[in-house]
Amino acid sequence: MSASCDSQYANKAFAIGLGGVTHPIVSDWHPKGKVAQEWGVYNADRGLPIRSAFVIDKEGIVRFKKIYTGELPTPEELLAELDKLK
Amino acid sequence: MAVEVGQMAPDFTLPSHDGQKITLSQYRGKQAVVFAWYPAAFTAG
Repeated sequence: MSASCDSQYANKAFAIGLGGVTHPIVSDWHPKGKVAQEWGVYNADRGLPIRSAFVIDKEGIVRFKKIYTGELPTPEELLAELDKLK
Repeated sequence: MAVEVGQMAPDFTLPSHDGQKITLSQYRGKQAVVFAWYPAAFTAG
């Protein structure tokens, strides 16, 4: 799943623009950034979440966390983390 | 406060782009979840 502080309507348009998505894009819009703050990935100066990725196992435990500064997460990196859970 | 590896993921319920309410814990016992934050739609952010 992916998340931002955009409204669900912006995310709907974003999903359409991407040609459709197969995962939920969730909206931390109101109250803005509440969940991002709880997860420690809210940039209050910009009013935006920080690019980051977490992998959560089936039991609900966080197994991977990465904050991205400049680079983007890759599918290979995240799939490798999922493989480690098997 | 920050979420760290090894801790229980804090639960939340947020609206999805297609109008569903998604609760993180709905996946518990079923599947692992990749949860990716991006700064803003349509931008290089």
